Amino acid sequence: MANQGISVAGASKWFGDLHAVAPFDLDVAPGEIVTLIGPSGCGKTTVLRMIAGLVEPSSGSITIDGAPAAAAKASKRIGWVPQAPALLPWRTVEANARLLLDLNADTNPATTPDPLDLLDRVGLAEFRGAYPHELSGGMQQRVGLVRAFALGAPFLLMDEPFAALDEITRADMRHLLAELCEPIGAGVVFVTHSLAEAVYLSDRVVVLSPRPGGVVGSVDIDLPRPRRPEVEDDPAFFALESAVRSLLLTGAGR
Amino acid sequence: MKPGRWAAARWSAIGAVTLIAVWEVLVRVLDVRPFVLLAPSKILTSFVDDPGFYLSDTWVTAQHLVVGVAISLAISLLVGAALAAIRPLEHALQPFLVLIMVTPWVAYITSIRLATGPGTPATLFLVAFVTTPAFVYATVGGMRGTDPAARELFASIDASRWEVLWRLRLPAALPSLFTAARFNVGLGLGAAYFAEGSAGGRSGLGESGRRAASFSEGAWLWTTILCAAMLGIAAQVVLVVLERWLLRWHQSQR
Repeated sequence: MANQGISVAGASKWFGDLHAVAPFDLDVAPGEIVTLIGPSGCGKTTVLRMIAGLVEPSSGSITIDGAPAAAAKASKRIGWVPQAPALLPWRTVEANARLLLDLNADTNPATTPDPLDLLDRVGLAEFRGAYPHELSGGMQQRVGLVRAFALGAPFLLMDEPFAALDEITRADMRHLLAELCEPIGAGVVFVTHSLAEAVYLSDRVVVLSPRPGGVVGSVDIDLPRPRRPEVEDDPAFFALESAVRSLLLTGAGR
Repeated sequence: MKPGRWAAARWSAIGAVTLIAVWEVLVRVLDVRPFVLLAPSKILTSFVDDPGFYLSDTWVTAQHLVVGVAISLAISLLVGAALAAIRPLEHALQPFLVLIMVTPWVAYITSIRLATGPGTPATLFLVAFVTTPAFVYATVGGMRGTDPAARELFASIDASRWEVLWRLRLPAALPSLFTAARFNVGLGLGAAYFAEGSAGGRSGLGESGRRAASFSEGAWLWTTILCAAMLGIAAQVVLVVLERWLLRWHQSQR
């Protein structure tokens, strides 16, 4: 079938007089993991919000499996992972993991992954009855990931989910995220500042220019899957990081 | 119970006993007239002489307080939710809420009595009327204070307005609602006692106190005052227990 996956065609965004995103093209095939990387304030998050149907583009169009973004949102085909974990403090870990299933529940797909199984896989099974304030930042963000994966959506959109974590936790989180993403075949758009995250997780890295953000170029990541942490010591990994870095410098006009 | 709470409870008990002792000694030593201030021992004697007489009026006042505050809470939640959603409405209603807060009850109790009929209707109206502003402010403030990332998360799967209200905004407003409730219990009790005595009621502590005053019966008057205070303390205890349970996830309970 044509038009499968995410298709962004000439989408741009103005906030009043501020040109946040220049006309932007992006195609994400089903099951493809694409990272958007770019300098702070380049509109990465705005692009992600437009794909999620949370912000209307000022021009151009965005379709998901051929339908407008708003339709994908209404049919719960997008798992959203925000920058802050945004756990509801009055819900236990397990109830937070089920949140997206509990809301707009008539639209749930027939089969969804078991949230408890997912919590077990991210090492939080014994914390299922705990409240968010009892967890560390990394643990809270793991619940945030489980919450999105529990939806069983064909697309996942992640907005710098590990930005607030320390370097050691970040590395653990990207390894964990790759393990969660690889078997389910969801299309993923991942926004980050981190070269390591971009190269480790992606099939393709798209580099954005400073505001108004536009595509500078992209780098195909042909590292074998499944990815394992050892790959980060591979010369090929460093070469890809350098390729992304030089595109970032090109975009910044240096 | 945590060890710190035992220490806190012990000091509170010491404070209470000291207060009663100082009160008793001062009244005896300075030979204060009963109508101005009655010794605690005499209040206790007066109560024990005819507990049924005081308890039946306490029961009436308790009902006035609980029903009045419940009506106020129900109205405030509806109004507050509307105001939180529609900012112009909040500004439009602001003068009315301020007017309720600053106008002395003594000034308009006769009008209420004429409008609603004497006794219980007037009492319930006054209790509900004066406790509404604090509840409305608490609802609006709490609902506005919801985490923007959580709101975006709700939007990402097209949660209904009702779900946003019930599962996000209302729980977020609970801590401020409890703060308002503690304040309103004292305010509502004052309004109930005053309205019972001034709006032509046939029962209640306020009405009993008014008769005691007209007969210059110091012991009788002071026993109604103490019953009202005990009722207020009981209401605060109920609130604390409810708060411990409903806000067990909140930082104030840690």
